Amino acid sequence: MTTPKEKEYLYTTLEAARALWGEDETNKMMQQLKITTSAVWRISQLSLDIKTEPATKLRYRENP
Amino acid sequence: MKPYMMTLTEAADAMKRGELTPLILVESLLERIRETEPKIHAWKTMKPEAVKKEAKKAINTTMLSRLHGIPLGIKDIYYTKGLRTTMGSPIYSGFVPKYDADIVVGLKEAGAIVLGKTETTEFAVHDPAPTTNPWNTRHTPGGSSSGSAAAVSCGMCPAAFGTQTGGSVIRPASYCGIVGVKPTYGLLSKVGVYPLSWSLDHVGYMTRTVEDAHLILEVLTGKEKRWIPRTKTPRIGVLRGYFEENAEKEVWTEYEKAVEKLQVEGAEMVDVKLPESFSYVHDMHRIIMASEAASVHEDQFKEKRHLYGNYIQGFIASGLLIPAAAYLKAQRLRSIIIDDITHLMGSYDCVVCPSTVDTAPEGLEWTGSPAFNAPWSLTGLPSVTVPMGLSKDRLPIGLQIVGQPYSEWDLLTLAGWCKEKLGFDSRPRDPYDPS
Repeated sequence: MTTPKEKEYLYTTLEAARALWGEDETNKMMQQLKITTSAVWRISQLSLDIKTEPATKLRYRENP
Repeated sequence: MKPYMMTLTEAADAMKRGELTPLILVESLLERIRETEPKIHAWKTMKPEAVKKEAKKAINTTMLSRLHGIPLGIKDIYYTKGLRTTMGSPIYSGFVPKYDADIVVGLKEAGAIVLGKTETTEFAVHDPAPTTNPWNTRHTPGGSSSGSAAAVSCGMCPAAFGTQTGGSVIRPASYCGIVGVKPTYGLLSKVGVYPLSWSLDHVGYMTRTVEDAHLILEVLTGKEKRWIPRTKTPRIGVLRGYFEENAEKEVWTEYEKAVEKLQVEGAEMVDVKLPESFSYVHDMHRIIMASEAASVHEDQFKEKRHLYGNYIQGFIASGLLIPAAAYLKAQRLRSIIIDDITHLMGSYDCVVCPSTVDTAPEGLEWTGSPAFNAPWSLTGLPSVTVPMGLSKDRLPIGLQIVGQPYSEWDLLTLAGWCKEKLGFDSRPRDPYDPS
């Protein structure tokens, strides 16, 4: 279920895309833009403890 | 037996005994390629005369390793000195690297021969390669390491290299009925491999047997770990939940049969509940991959966007619009899921799930879903696929076996145990063209 706030977020993102690449190009790329924007929206709704640091590519660099 | 039919281990052993030379093997493989390539389209660039020259040279030099004189396929996003490397993109159609990727350096130092460059989807994302599936040429071989999987499956080479950011080694290997290995993140060097997403990219490879996969790892890591088949019965965590909800019925039925068969053979099969953080796995993967791919391509995307395929254009554009805070939040969540999953796995020798959602889709427009592989690319855990059965349309279905970080040696012997118990014909596949 898409909430009004999520719709607003998608609208803002698509406006940014139109400003950068124009209406026709944005329409061609619409499916990918929507999938990524939805993922960003869902993740942004989560609260994380301040102690949770980002995983980095350094994590598995050393082979024990 | 014709030399092209030999597994990597069989060919290496025959060379050691003096019963096979690199040139005889190369000529047999080139003949096999001449026969099958018109239907499979696995190779982007190949110079047969140069390959034969390398093979002749290998005859007259001291054996450098068990890979000495063995011809291998290399995905067309690995830099190969003096050999065209296109990344599956018109932007790089004439690009000839001045140096080899680290993996290629390692293989050459071990005496292996680069047979040629295998087809890839565009920049290892989704816009497809022309490669077909040897099990049914109307179907995709999967991607992005499409050419590598198809070439190994039909005996054009005994092993080939690929890369995985989502599911690009395990999925095509599974669709083509062969063994695929995605080692722990960072175990094998990515230097000289065109990046897609720095924190998700893995170097991997494909063979027809698990013993062959073990041999390659032994040579590339420089560790002497001779293949000893596992005899001890394993304790295996069985994943259901998300995987059952998303798998096609036929895939799930084969999976349940495989779980039962392994149990009958003595494995302790224990149901495992996925952690809550798993429900965000695809959102995290999408955000991280799109952000990093956008950064990789940002400069040339400005000038050459018209030269990108439809899928990757939208993918990069969407990544350019992701806020930095969202990328970092995805990376923070990723640290939670890595902890959750590695903790969960502590009680088992490995966990298993199907390698793919479905069997190889019909048509070449779509290389299939990476949904069952992306969690292991995201967490960086090593995974192996072995064939576990066939669909009613005679398309392969794979079992994905996942281990703790750096557990590759145990994981491979365990995968060998599973493959032996499940039984699957690993001989090269003659292309099946239903028309």
